[in-house]
Amino acid sequence: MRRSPDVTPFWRDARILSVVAQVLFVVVIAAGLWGAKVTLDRSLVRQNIRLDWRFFKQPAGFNLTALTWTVDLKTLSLKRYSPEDSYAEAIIAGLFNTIKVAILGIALALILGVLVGVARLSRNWLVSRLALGYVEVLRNTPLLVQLFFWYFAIFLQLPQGTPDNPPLTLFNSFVVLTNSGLAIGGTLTERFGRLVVDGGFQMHSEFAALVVGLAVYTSTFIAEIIRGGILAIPRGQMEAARSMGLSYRKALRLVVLPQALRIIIPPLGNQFLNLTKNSSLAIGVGFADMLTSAMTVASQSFRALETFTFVTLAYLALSLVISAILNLVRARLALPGT
Amino acid sequence: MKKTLAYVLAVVITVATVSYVVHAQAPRSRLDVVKARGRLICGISGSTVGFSFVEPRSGEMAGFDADFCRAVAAFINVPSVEFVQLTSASRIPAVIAGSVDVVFRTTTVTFSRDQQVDFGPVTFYDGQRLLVRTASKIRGLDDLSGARICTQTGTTSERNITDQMRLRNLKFELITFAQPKEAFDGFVAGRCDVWTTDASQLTAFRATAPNPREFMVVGPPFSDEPLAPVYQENDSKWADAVNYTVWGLILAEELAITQITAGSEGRLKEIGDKNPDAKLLITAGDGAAMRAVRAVGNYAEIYNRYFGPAKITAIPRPGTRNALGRNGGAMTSRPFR
Repeated sequence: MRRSPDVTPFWRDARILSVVAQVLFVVVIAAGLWGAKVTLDRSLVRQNIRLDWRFFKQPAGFNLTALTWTVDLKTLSLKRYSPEDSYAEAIIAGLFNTIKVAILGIALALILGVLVGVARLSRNWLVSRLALGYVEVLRNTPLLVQLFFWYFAIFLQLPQGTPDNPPLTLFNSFVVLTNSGLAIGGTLTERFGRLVVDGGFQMHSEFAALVVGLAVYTSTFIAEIIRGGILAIPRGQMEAARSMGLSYRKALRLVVLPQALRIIIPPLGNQFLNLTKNSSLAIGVGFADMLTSAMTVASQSFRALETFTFVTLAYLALSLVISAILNLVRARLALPGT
Repeated sequence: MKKTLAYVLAVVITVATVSYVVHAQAPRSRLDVVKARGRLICGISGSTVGFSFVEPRSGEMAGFDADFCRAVAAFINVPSVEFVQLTSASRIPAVIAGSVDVVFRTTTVTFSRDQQVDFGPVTFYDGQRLLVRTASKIRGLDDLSGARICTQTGTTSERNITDQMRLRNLKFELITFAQPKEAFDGFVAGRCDVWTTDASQLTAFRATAPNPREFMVVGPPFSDEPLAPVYQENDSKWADAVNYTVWGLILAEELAITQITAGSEGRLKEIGDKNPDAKLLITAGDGAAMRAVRAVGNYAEIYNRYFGPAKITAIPRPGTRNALGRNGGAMTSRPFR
């Protein structure tokens, strides 16, 4: 008997098979997740750990190093963090600090990185060697060590504000620099034998050390990415631009860098993500970032599992936002049709 | 299709095996785990002068807390101790996860902490005070208006000082560090006007400053900090081992059994013949308590080794709660009948 060509048995129909495969895949994933959940539940019971998410509403009762903003979870409005606020609000205050560090750190790292990256390619021997030294020394030492160095060996060695070690001041005490940090527009007062600044804009040593440390460390990687990006543009582009009468700088700015940017963006994004995640080393220099306040919450409530689930998700969200922004930038820069 | 089937089977089998293996482990006491391992994993600070620090000459871990770790190992007859350095914030997760067997790390017993872990007998009664520069004229909490205060992250100290300052309605700035050493360094460098934590740590660190006279511990203690060992919840066999180690060392002091006497069978027999209580302690658990005393000495010997009057980190004991119960203190043992 001859089979008519339009009747294919369903197990040989590619369309049906692909649907079946998808369904099977989902079932397998679901089974895997369910198995993991069962295992987790059993382990938790065996270890006597009972998850309880309500504790996030309890008052935190501790202060944060840098007074900061947080979200009032009842009214969803911004407010100043105070110790009466809940544990959740304390962690959110830490998250705000982390975001502050990330934004400033990324901006500073990018500026430094571009400068050093371009300097690496300079035809001036001294400049390119200095840039090479900068990159190699700072890239090959641990970040935590560098942060300790910035904080304990540099920022804490600034004047203490005692009479024989007075603060550095500029513009008639408008700008004051002590080992407490940089203060702009505050009033100098003496307290406990030390000149300290009240009010005004204050940048604490812990924050400064963290931002500078992160930015300098990350800038070495960015410099290498910039250098690689520029080198990846065929020499002919620069030569053609020069032969059209553009100066070296103009050729770099108008022809080479825009093309290099396309190559640079994806690895640059990785460095931005690294900087954001590395900001959790703040705990070493006493800055109240998200991890620091979460650690305090965890050790006061002893609810480490719940706290760190929250923190992991928050870092994940932060990283995804940065990735999304960079993807937008990349899409805008992409050549049409690619 | 075959491939898909193979994948499905592989995943199902893996999940099943993992769940089974995880499920199949019968709950074992930590005591059996430690004995089978032959090594006690003990959580300590590692950078707290007096309590646990690296002895500069031998390079070994030393200190009040470290000696209690060794005592527990000797008590259960396990040959070696592995020290794990923990921060204030990481010690409880480490206990809950079971990555350390016991933690001796200047940990205050509190109600809320006891919901998650169990505490042994108090090894040291402490209280929170202030370390200030002698020249600063700060003599107590009431002088702290506008002060910059250093302390450690995730400690009861952090919360106590916040409460005290809010009670007094004083403005202050808090700078928190992960380790006492860092907090002390920040304080010495002049980042803050006060360092506050348990008085024992203030005293011990002050002694290590380049010029201790520049600093002083001031004010009455404003918190109660009974420091005790920490271990996992609901493991009474293991709890007994740790608890009776501590009580054994205290009872050995009461009965004047020292490291030297514990090392000599003849002397022990002499003491045991004279005092039935001592005989019970000496013979209990195949001489478990005596092994602990032989390893580190009795409670007074440990105390004086690090906080004795002749030490730079001296912390007076008579008249405080750290004295023996019969001397008016709070250090008491349990009968070893």
